[in-house]
Amino acid sequence: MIITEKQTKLSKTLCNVDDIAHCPYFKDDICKRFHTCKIREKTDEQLNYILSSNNQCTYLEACAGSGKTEALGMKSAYEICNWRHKDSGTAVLTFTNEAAATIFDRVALFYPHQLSYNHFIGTFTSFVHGYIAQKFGSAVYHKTNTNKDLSFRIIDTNINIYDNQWLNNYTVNFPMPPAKKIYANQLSFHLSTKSWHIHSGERTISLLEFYKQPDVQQLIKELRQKKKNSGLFQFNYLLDKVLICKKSFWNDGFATFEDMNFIAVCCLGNETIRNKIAKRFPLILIDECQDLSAMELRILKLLQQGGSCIHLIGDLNQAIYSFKDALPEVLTKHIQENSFVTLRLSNNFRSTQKIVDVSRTLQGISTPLTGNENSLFNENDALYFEYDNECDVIQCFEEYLKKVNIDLGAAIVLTRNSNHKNLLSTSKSVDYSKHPVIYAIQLWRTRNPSNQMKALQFIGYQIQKWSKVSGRSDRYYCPSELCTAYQWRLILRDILNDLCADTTVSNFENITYSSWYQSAKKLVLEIIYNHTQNVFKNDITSTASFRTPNGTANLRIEIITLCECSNVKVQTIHATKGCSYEAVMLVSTQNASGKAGYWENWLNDKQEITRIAYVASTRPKHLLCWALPQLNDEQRKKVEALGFCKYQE
Amino acid sequence: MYISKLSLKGYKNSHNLSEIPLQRGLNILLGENGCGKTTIINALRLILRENESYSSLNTDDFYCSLDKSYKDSEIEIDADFSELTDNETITFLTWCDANFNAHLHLSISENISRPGYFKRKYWGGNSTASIFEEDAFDRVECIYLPPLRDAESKLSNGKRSRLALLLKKQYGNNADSLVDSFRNFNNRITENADGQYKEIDMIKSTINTKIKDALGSQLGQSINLQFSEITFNKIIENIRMVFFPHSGETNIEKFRDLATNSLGYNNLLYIATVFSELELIKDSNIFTVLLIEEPEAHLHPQLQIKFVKYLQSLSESLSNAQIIVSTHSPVLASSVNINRLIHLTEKSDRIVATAMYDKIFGNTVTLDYINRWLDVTKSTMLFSRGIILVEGIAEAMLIPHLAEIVLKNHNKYAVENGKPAIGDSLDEMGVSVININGINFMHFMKLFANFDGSSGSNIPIYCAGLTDRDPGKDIFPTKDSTPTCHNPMKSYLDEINQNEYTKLYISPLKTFEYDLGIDNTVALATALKSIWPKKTGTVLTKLTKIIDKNGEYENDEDLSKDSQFIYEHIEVVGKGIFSYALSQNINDNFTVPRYIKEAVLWACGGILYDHN
Repeated sequence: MIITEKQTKLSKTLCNVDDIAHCPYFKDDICKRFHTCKIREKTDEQLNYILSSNNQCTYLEACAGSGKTEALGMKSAYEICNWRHKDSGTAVLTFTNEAAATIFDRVALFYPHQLSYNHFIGTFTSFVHGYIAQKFGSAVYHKTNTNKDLSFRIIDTNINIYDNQWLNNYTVNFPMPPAKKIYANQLSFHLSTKSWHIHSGERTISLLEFYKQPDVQQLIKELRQKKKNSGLFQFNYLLDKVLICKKSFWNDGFATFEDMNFIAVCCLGNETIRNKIAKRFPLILIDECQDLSAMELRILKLLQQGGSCIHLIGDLNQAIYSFKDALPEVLTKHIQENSFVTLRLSNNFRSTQKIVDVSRTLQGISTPLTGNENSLFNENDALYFEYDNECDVIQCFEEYLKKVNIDLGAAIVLTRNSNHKNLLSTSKSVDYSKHPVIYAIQLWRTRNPSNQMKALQFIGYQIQKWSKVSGRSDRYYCPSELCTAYQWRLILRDILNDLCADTTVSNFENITYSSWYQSAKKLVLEIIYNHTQNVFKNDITSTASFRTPNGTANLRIEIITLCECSNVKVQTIHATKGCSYEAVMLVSTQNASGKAGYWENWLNDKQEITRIAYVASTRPKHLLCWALPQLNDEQRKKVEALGFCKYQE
Repeated sequence: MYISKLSLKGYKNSHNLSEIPLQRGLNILLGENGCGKTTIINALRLILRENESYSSLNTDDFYCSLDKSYKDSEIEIDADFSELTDNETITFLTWCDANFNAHLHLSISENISRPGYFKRKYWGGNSTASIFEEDAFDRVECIYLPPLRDAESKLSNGKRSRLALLLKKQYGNNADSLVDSFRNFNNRITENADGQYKEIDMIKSTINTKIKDALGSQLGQSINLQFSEITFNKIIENIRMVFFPHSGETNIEKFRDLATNSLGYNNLLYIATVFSELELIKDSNIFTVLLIEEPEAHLHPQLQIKFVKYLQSLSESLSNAQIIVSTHSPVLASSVNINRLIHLTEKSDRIVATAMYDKIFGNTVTLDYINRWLDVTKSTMLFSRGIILVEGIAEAMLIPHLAEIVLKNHNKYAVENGKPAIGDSLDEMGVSVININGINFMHFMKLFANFDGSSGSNIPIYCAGLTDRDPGKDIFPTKDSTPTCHNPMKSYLDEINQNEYTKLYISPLKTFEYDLGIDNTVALATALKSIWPKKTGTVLTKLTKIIDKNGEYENDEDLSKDSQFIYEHIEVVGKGIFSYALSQNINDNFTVPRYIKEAVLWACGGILYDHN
């Protein structure tokens, strides 16, 4: 099929135009409906995907900046406009709500009706929870409960144990040092390695690693001696206990996000359920497929067995979520074993050819990729800076941006992890959950709408912690069973006004956290009680714990400064996935102890560390900068071999 | 699929969980007033989102205790759907559980900040956190026929007109031609091309001139005169039904306005209109629930029977429709198969529903017997609060009179002993005396009790069976003797008495009349004498003698002989005539045999006779 035939096929479905060459809406390169012609601007590769079969499992390998969302959006629109069945539909699954909203908008462009319920556009999680795990999970676990509502309550992996003493009912019953208790919500099962992992904060270790830790082993050794039985407390015994702990967690109706995937797999093990869902959704399109964990891929495999056709759209080179068991080798194997055909998008519309080449060399991609953005600086599209001090190099970057007329707001400094990010940021990020009331008061006083919205959220968060009636964070934790969202906002407003009006409560000048908590506690609780007594049946403040969080007692209360600084923003690489910037500076740590943050590891790892650097290096349109510690000649050669030029003042 | 169970909590009279089993096809809900028939129909309307159910909810629908000290803050209504087809499991996937039975839940609470406004939350399956597709409601049609107080208004034109609703459905998306013909007509008026409408045109230009004169061309407006607004809805709502009192009339001149028709026929015209709606869905795969409240209103019995037979055949021809009818018409109840009946009663703040299809009678004879003999008179038992089953006309006529004596004495005794008094007649207590015409009332008793191999749920109404000892034709036992019982019901006595709601009472000596006679020779003889066909003769002499004895006997044999004499001569005049005469002679001195006292009190709410 030549390209105009493909375009015509699309225009017939999407625009009701029988011949795109004589499109009545298109005149002087302008489409009356969409400004530019959405169909004509598609490349041949994109058209091939959009018109690809909806009953052949397909992997669309979409390189960075290839207009993947644009293609997926039009594909969704094309399939939905062509859909003829009332009882079944297409599911388009993304990883974030924003991405889902984007796809939804694209579909809405061409699909004039309200999207009918047989189609689903939303996040992968909401699909798995809503159609599978929450729906049928009670048939596997949690079935003994006599409640009418057998929903699982989702517990965050990183939930604060101290505020949730009930979690002590769900610990692994195995001898371990007191500080190392394992809670059910910290455990997740990685299907790729068939092993349990323990998450705490940003750290994840496997159960075996945990078991082998010296202090754990020491404790086991002592117990074995004491009980004179060297066969006690083997690893398999720990495994059994972990399973018992998890099952009781599930049977009581709790689950983590990862558990829900496992529960979904259990549900889909039932052939009837699997077939019905597949019949309901014969076509499932998945965005950012490289972020699918092995368990999530198993869900898709089961749906495929049930009869669904799966389209995976993504870029293996951008797989940077190994900590949640999303591994490119697992995806590759999945694609090979389940008879997927592969299509490609190899045109990068974001970056210049130079930037594309540099990142391609870094990642070792053998297929050709085209950079379609016009170069502004030619050879100097990719620069490396050498630094003594990380903060100076950012200064340097800013001055260079001013020199070459790039708006600072359109540029970004990237770093691997959040500690390094905090080090580089001039404006410190604060952990609001520590002192929600203090921050809420400070933000409320600014009278700035966006700050005040944050203030509402913090005070709402605090009240939820005390009332234990959960609500949605985007509704300021409104206990929706008890009052309406707008009433709740008014209550929060009154509380904040009263808190700000009280001079003792709202005075933060030169006092420590502990003295504030001491003097303000009673007043704060009183104000909150006054405004919430009609909402909650019992007095929530009577049992409220409101004291200085550990480790902050003697610190001075931090005053939030809100001057909008004109500096370049600093962000972690993971947070900028899928984003575009005019200019990017990727900052390496000083030395190799920074692991994934250190530039030599970017080059040598060839695994996830390299992919993380690849993701960062494919963000800029016109200017890619690496900021590296002082290099020797050999190191310089390595960097220049990638195609970087040295920054000259 | 069909709704197999409806559950309510916190709604109307149902504070505790009420579960109502329903079946495929036709369901007839019946029971006394206030038992929850309308509650069930309205709950179904709410949960199925019937069009007008939204406006019908109000604060009083939340359960409130009788003394008004307690009020429920939440209404919960749940419907279970069974036997979904393969396609339906896909359509209603988000309503299904893992066994692919569908569950629909609705909870309603009053908006705290806006009293009178309600929050409704619908969810499906077993989990509120799972996805619930509201659009699946598009695949459920709920048609509601309210109890007809005023069929005429429903049939006349206007927004709420049933006719308009039907026409809208029929037209679907093809409304253009109708609108066009009206538009053309309007255009002809306004253009007045051939001068046909010059009067209208003149008035129009006169008004326009006056407007211009008064307001000037800057501030003025202009008007047009036309037939009516020409939107589809307006046209449809203006179509009226007219009628002619016999079938087959086509001359449009002869049709008249509905206001001149009888209430009952207007009701039927209305129902016919709604049934035409069913024709539209006949071929579609949409699950349809038809709710009909008290269709008997204004219909004479023959029409009621015809109507319910039609419903039954309709439910058989529409495989995807479920019809739920509430009624208190014994005519309706007695003209369908008993399997279709669902008996309702209110007990301890909940609705107790007994589905007859749920009952296993143990043998086919019983089912056939009930279906054959549950006539209008007998089906009144389904609307009673208590029942006394009797063998014949004599009991049926006399028990209500005897009951007055029993209740009077009971209340006197109750008051003396600090117990609550009850009503002083069977009518007041809502108790029916049902004449079975024979001793076959074991069949009917199975509706209330399990014995002789029957099982399943029982209608929770106190039911007393009153039967004769039948020691043998020629045996006339003496007072206080215990003759052998040859009544076949005796073999079920223990089983029946073990049930919660039933008791069987067997006369201690022979038959109802004989046993009455033993204790009341004077009264019976007086009654018999008053209706004896001859003015002289041995019988009259003998009766006078008995009356003269004034109930005083030297030995039991003499008493039994007199009783026998009366008994044998009652047969001559006929039990019915005799009973009427006796009923006129019953006064407070009449001695009611103990087994009748027991039966009366049992039927009046399960009271056990405990004094002498």
